[in-house]
Amino acid sequence: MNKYLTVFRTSFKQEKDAIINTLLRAVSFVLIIYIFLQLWGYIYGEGGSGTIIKGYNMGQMIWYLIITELITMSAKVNTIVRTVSNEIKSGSISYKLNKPYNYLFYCISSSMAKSCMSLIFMLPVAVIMGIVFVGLPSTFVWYQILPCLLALLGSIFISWSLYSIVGLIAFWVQDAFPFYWIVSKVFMLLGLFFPIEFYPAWLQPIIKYSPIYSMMSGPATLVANFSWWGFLEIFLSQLIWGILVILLGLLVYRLGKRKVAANGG
Amino acid sequence: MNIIEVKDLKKTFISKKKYKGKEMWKHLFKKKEKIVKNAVDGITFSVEEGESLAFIGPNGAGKSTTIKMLTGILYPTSGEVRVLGFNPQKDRIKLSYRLGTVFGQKEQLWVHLSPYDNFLFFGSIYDIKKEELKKTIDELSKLFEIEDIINQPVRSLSLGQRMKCEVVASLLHKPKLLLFDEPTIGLDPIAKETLRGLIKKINKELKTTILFTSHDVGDIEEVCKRVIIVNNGKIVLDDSMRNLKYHHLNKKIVEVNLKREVEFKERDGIKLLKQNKTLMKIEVDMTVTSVNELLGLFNAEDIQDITISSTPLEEIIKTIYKGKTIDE
Amino acid sequence: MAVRKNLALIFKYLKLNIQKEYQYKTSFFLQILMMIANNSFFIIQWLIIFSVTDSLGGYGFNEVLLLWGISAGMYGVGHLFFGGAYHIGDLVYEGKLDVFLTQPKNVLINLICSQSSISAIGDILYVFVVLIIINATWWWYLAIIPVCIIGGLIYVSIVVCFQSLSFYIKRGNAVADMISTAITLFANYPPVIFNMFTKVILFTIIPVGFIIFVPAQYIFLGFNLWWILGMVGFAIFLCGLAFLLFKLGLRKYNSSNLMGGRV
Repeated sequence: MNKYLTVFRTSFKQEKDAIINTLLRAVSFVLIIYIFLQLWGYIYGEGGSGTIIKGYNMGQMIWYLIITELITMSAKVNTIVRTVSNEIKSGSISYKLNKPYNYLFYCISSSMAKSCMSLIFMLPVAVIMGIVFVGLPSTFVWYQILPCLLALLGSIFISWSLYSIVGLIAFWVQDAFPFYWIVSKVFMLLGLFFPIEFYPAWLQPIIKYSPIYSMMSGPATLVANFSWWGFLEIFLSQLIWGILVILLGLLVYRLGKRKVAANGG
Repeated sequence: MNIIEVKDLKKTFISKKKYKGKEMWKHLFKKKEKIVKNAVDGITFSVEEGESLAFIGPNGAGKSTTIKMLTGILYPTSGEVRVLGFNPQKDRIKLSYRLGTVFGQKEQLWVHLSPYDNFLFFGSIYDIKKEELKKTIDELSKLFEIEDIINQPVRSLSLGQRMKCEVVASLLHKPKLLLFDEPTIGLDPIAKETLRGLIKKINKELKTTILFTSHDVGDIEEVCKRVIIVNNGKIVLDDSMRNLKYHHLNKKIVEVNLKREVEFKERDGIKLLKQNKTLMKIEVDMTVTSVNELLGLFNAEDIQDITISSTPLEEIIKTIYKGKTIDE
Repeated sequence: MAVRKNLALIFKYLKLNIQKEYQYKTSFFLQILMMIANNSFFIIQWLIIFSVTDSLGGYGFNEVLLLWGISAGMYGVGHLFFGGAYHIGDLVYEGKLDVFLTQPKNVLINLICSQSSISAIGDILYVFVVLIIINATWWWYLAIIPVCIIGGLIYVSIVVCFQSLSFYIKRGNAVADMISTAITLFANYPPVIFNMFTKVILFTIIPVGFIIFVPAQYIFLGFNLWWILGMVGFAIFLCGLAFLLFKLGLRKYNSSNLMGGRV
């Protein structure tokens, strides 16, 4: 366990150099939410606070979007897919395979570090933005902070694990990028823009039992509309999906590793 | 007619001082100190038609900056430049129709395309008519022996072949003056040799005036008739190659590594600079004797390794400076 | 004459860039298809939005889609024909303008046309996907082309103006990247949703207003000579400004020596 912590720490330091980039991302974060604010402000109409659409008032809707966007921005999942698939393609993975750590865990822990760094920047931006734009969510209670944070970290962890598997596809196909692209687009469409309740009834259970719920909709709904029951649900969903994804990752990795040995790296 | 005319040319770069760590916070709200660097500091020279001139100096001497002012890439801080009768900054486009440039560090070829496609493209940039362009490409590829590789993608070519193609690409519009900026940088010895031959050929057969920069004395020995040495933005020496050879390149440094320790006696024109057991550093005065003669002093079976080099540029500059102070 | 020569240059570069990318056929078509699919995904977003509201200040599903089409078209024109504009900052920083400065062509045109992004073809094709979906009349097929070209020119000019900052400040291109991201973000929404304050910003700091509000009027009012003339006038003004700012910046160019070929 200790060595993954060290990997985490080293990557954390490196990431400091990218402060300017993070700042720019923060600006575009604000811009995106600002546009959503205008859009939903228009849809909710002038008397905004009273109107409720699909169980969400204006403030809750904006908080939902802030959190899903925050997760997407912090997770920066495209980097892990690119790193993993590039390392496999260039063959430099063979240098890492014989090191005394599990490559998959190495990737996940170093990526988690990067995410945490950007989360540290983005979280205050997100919270301040939410309060300035729409105030705290109408259901806000102070004791929701800790469970919400846990759900947030859980969702980022699952994102990384899942996308590193997408990167591992490069063991079999030349370019893993199109796969990443499809997966991320589907997740975006079914989780980023709208809470579950906005989708047609037949689609709702599918989303709920897919990793999308534990990665995006779940934590965001929790922030916008907190309940202990909801937390339990998300916690279970994240636990189950976390275990499943890790097991799947190990399996894919083990199968793929043989492929490298066969090709001589 | 003078092809290049440069008078008291100066270029200053101004940058702001950088502070690190704690210093940065101290100076955050103060005006930052300016650092002024005179990259080119009052250079005057002229080049006649048909000449081939080498512009040499150590890294950071101001060679590239000068060449870039000749092409119109950089604006001079002060002074006058005329190239082929044009002011490069004002008449950049007119000048570029008659000027060829090869930058050693900046390749202009598209690596995913073949040299032939590249040539067609560059030809069209210079508004050359198709038939004429094809004829020129044929002639040049024969002259430079690249007919076999002209249809392979550039990325698959060796460094030397690429350099050849770069040169051909910059000759398509039949420029009167060809400028090379550090063309030999990063090339292996064989490619370097090829390129030197090329430059000679262009000057002789195409009658193109040539100016080229280098930090390697080896480049100029066989290629150019005239040399300008620059250091710290100033001209140190402007002389014929023959004079330079006679006064400053008349010595070779020979390093020999022997299989066993041998006693060595100096003679006329042969000086032992250093000896560390079997390793010897010897200076040979070419006006008196030759390297051949030196090698005759050893038993051929004893020699393990041998390198011959010219006097390094820094040495030459040092002796020129010394000579000047004595003269004055 | 000069115009014809420069147009020829634009197409020569385009041909070369396509030729270059076409060597990897699968990736070539994949890039284009993925861009079309990417844009199409957002159709679903709007379907859901219109399931909770009937119209956005008169904008129905078709109008919004058309707006998306136009903004994709402009983005496509910008990135396909003038892709180099988005990299001016990097080229200045790496000292790679030298090649363009030794060639007998206008530096800015030469530079911005030298690169193009193949996925932009997908953006342009998407315009026609949209027209088919909303069952547009032939008039729209005809009218959308000049709109996209003029809009694309405005978009590229704005990018050039901001990228020229990099002659003066080191990370100038970061600002420019920010602005062009903002433009693409704002350009995808009907102008009616923005409040007065935002509209003012959109006509000054991020002049995307000229790109989206004008075509938006075009959608509503049909052919309107004054709007078109206004847009053309603005395009000419911005192009001139871009040339001027770039030229001023070029005097500061210091041609650093970083290694690297043209890939």
